[in-house]
Amino acid sequence: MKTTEFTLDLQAYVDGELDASHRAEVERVLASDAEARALVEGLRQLSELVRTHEPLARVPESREFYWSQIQRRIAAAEVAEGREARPASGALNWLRWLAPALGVAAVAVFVVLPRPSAETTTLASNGPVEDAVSMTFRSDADGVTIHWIN
Amino acid sequence: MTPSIRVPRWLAFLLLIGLPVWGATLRAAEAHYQVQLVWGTDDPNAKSGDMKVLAPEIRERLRQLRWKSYFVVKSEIASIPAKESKRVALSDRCAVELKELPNGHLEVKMFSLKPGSDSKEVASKTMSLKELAEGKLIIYAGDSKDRWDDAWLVIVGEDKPAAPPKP
Amino acid sequence: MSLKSDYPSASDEQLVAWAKDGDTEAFEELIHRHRDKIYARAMIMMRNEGDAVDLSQEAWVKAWQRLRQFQGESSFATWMTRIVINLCLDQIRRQKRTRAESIEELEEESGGVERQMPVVENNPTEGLETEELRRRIDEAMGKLTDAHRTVLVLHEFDGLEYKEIAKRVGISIGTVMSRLFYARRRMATLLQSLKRERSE
Repeated sequence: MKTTEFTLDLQAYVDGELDASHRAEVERVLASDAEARALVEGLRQLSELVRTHEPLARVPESREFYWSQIQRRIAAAEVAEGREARPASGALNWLRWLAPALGVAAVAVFVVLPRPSAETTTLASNGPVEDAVSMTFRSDADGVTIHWIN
Repeated sequence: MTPSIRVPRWLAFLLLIGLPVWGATLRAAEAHYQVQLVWGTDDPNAKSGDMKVLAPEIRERLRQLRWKSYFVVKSEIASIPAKESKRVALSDRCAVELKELPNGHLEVKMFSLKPGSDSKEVASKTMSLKELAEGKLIIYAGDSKDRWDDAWLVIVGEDKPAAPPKP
Repeated sequence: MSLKSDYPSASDEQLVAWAKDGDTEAFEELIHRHRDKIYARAMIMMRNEGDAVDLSQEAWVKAWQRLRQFQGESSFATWMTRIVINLCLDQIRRQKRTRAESIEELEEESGGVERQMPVVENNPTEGLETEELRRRIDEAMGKLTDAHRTVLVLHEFDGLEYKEIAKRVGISIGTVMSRLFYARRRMATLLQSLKRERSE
């Protein structure tokens, strides 16, 4: 009867986790133990089966909306950390904090130009601190403007 | 014998042109908007039997969002007199206030309500009357405080007015 | 040399370089390419869409914040999956454990490994189409406890060695080995019972 330790050694052998001398020892046992060989083969097959059939899933949100949510989170994180926005690149801007001299807490303001597609989707966050809207998502194709409130 | 009434010509003329003008004025005097509080969830069943499924033509327009089901918690038609605002209480926690601005925009303000204290304005956004007349919707949304993973939405759109009576 | 506007054709390495300079369009292209994989990984771990969306988005935020630390020591996809896995592990730790889960962990650790070991049949899923296989494996993984599913995911999908899993999860190598064996044994049992159901 195999001990628990030996069973786990067989698993480690399948997973390539044994050093050379330990591996040689296991192989000596396998040469004469059919039950151990069956276990090794079964573990190998199961591992191969699981590894090659990783469950797939698709993000349930549209590309634009998922991106807008991430942008909202990044802006909120930068608000929380009081960090300056990174410099702009191309047509997209992470805009800087509003000046504290205005007497209001700074909020991140960002603008995304419409993507070059048949559907116009624009994103803007705006408003003073009293405005709880953290993100605005607009879809011309669907005829909606969604203001997300935290 | 029915007594005849002599109508001065100028008055007759005024009545002729005045009626349709009056009708148009009546339509412009009050604008009508549909305001709906909607619950977004992945649950296929509504929380209560009172809730109806959101109209498919609106539901389709929320396709960018991820929730599988949308139920109408409350639906109201807000009739807004010219130059005035109209507040619509949607639940014991939130209300919206609508007002047509002189610049041709509808202002929609969101208020949070708490028992025993004044309502607090949390957001104010506008949309042009032209876009609303085209059927576009202005929506406030946020994470539900009661149920993780659900969302609430307040959907505002123009309610098509009834045709004025024919003279 | 890729044009900066040619994001869809650019390699991950090029997009990362541009994103490090603050190019958010390049970053968005990276998200578009890898979002389903990252989301799927979160979904396997958390077993519900809401958590998976939330944690996958959070992973992208972390990636943006830490992009300068990424030096190409692994592929970008691998780096991202490690971020999302860490977030999932943190979330799992924060969530409550059910009593049933604790019982299963006790069974694993009580030394019943070899006594209860089923014979792992050759090809318990013979004849099944790939998509159906993925579905059944997903279903079986959903029946594992968080602890067992975690080590299985880290080993089989992320290819981590025992000691890396131990460090990531905060357990001993011995515990990694016993949890992994238990997870595999349980998967074999579940897949066999699914095969029996199918043939009935």
